[in-house]
Parts: sequence; structure tokens; C-alpha cells
Amino acid sequence: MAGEKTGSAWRAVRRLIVGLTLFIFFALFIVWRIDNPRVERFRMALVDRFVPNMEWALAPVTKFTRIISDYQSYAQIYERNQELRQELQRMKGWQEAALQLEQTNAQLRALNNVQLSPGLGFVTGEVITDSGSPFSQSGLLNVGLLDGVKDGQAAVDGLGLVGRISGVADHTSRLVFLSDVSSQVPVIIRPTGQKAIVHGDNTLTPKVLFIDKPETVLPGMRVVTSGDGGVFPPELLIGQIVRARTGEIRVLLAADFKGLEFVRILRASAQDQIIGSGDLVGESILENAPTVLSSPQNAETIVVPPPRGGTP
Amino acid sequence: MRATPKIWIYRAIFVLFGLLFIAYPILPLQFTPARWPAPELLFALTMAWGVRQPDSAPFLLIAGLALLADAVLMRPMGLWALLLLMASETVRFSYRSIQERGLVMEFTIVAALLLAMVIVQNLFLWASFSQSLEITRGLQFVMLTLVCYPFMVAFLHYIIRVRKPDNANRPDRLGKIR
Repeated sequence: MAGEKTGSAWRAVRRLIVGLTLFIFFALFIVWRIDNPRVERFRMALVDRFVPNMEWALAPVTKFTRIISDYQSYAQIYERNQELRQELQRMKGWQEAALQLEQTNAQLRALNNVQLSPGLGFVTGEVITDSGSPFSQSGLLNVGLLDGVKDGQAAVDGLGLVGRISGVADHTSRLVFLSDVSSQVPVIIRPTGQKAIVHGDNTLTPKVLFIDKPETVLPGMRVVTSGDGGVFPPELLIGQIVRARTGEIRVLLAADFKGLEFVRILRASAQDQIIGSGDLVGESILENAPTVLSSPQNAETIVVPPPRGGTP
Repeated sequence: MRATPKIWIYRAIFVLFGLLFIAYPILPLQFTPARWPAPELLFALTMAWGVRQPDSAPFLLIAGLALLADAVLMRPMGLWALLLLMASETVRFSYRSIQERGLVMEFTIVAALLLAMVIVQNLFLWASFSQSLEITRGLQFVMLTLVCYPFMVAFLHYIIRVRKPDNANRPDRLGKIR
């Protein structure tokens, strides 16, 4: 430090700095011992200031060390390969089992849905033809009026909603798929509970329209029917949210349209409907309630309450 | 002080490696408790550098690094930094004579300094009723650090070329603090 130009003055200043620093460090140690929490806070402030930057710089070192330790495992690469291959084979078996179980499960769950709701019965039909037109997505079923199929009923396969009945004959009926342009289904997006409309557009991924706050809808969310409008029963699985490259929100249908063979038509018995406004003191309540409140002969005594202190 | 740009480059390198040596014990490589303490590479760096080119390892830089090391490595704040600064000042005060006596003598002096530092540290900790270093741990620490020291010297000499000035172009009165 001490050069020719900066003579003894610099040396004195330097000595002062050194002494001061040593004293400060010593004092810091004493304070650390006496007032530990304060100094620990100071320590954490220092750490917080520096360590994230260091870790950024040291990430390559960490990676490199890990690569070296990984490299040691290359010694047994052949054995590892054999082992992994065997494991893969076993896993493929398990994957198949899992897929089958999943489908069975889904089917049973769909069945359960039917059983749990007493208003629903079902009839199973076979899809005998498809529409034969690229612009309308529908199929013909081998069940009809005689089997209790009616217009507007929902059809599901094992996994999810397929479409709705539109046009019934005695022994056949037409099933309009969800992918048809005329298909518009009110839905709920789970788990956020947002309501929307699934609008077919001749693809297997219909559009999801009229979402409130579409930015909160994430791919993978489940879409189920909401039951609004009274056409479909609620809680039928439609599919999963996906996002198109253009940013559009669409739903990947859960129903297996490629292997569509049998569908189950849900026969909803006439749903209880809530009609009219929910007025509590309206006329309809007064008319229907068989209480003293609405009986005409007592109306006077009820409607006109005795004035306070008026009766002798 | 000969304020050439080169000296600033060397100072930057010193700080860079100081930071590296502070950070290497906290690398997320191993999460099990280690059987051996990590060697104090910052000490080795400071000593080896201080013997060779004390000008490019100025006092305040060492002070900052030492304090940071104390903070990051969860040591008693300020104590090891204080001792490290004292050791580095000792070396700076007599670096010319250490240079002249050769590597073995340098190693012996550094070893003595390190041992003294560990003992004084333990004395301070004991006097302040803090948890002090176990003797075996302390010896392991001293041994490991000293094993690292020759490598540090070689690293400085051959790779970052922090060397003693040659006799030919040695400046006349540089660093003669008497």
C-alpha cells in the first residue's frame, strides 16, 4: 500500500483504518455475545443481500459437480440399461392394467351417477350410423320412442357426455354430438365453479364461450354440465380444459368419440321446476298457505293489530 | 501505490475467488451432516496472496470478505474476521522476508498463524461462555486447511499468476513499512 508518493500520511491513515476495523470487529463479536438477536438480524440481512447472488454464480459449479458424480454411474451403464429395460416391461404391464382400471372406474362412476339420482333412468343404445356429413356431427341410435327416449335427453358413454337426442322415431333416434355446431351446453368449470357454454365447432375440442374471467381458467380443469336450462342433468363430465395455440379456451371431450359404440341415454323424469319469483309475502303464498293468516274470516283481526293500550 | 490497471484486475480476481471460497461450503450438494469440517480456503487464499502480492489484496477487501464469511457460514460474528485480519496484517508486515525464506518457511509461518488463530478463537469463545470448537474438530480443521495451502499456492502461482516479483524488476522501496 505504502508507495513512494503517498508517504507517512497515508501510512498513518491506513494504520487508523486498520485499528478501527479491528476494533469494530471485536466490538461486533462482543455485541454478538451480548445482544444476539440484533446481530443475527444483521447477519441475515448480509446473507440475504449476498447469498442469492452467489447461488446464481455457483449454479454452474453445482451442476458440474453433479455431472461428475453422475458420470461415475456410467461405469455400470450396461447393467443399468438391462435393469431399466426389464423395469420398463414390467411398467408397461402395469400401465395397461391402470388404463383398464381407470376406464372401468369411470364407467362405474358414470353408472353411480345414474343410480344416485333417483330421477334418472337410462336406456342403452347402439350407434348404428353417423351423420355422413362433415358439417353435422350426429349419429343414429337403435332406440326410440318405444324405449322411452325423448327429445333433448342426454347421452353418455362410459367416460363423459356425448350429446343430446334431437329427433326421435319409434325405434330410432338421432343423437347430436357435442361437437356439432348446433350444440350449446351450459357447463361449470371445476374447481373454480365458473359458468360457461360449450359450443361445438366440428372439432373434438369445442369452444368454451362466455367465461367470466377467462384468465383464471387453466388447462386440465374439468368441465361438467351445470344443469342450467333443464336439458342436461347436472354434473355430467364433458372433458378437460385445453388451450389452443391462438389462446382460445377449448374443452377436450372426455367421451371417446373414436370408439363410440354404445351410449347410454339418460331418461330424466320430469324435473321439479321452481317457477315464479321467490316472494315471501306475495299473493301466491298467502293464497296457498292454509293457515289462519290467510283465512278470510280472520283477516281483519290479523291485518289490523290491536292498537297498543287501546283495549280497555 | 502504483495505480496500474493491472492491480485493479488482480483485486477483482481476489474478490471473485474470495466469494467463491466463501460460497463453496454452502453449495447444495450434500445435505447429510459432514464428517469433516470444510477447510478454510479464504484463509489460505488470503495468506498465499498476502505473501506474494499484498498490494492487490488490500485490507478493506479482506475485511469485507471475512465479515461476509462469518455471516454466511454462521460463525460467531466478527471473531474469525478479526483474527484473519490480524494474521493478514502480520503477513503483510513481513511479506518481504517471508518471500526470501522460501516455501517451507512460508508454510511453517502460515501453519503457526492458523494454529494461533484457532487457539485464540477458542480462548475468546471460552472466555465469553460461547460454544467453542472441540479440540478434535479444531485439529481436523487446521490439518485440512494446511493440506489445501500448497494447492492454493500452486493455484495462485501457475493459474492466476500471482507471483513474487522477480529480483530484476523488484521495486526499490515498495511496502517497506518500518
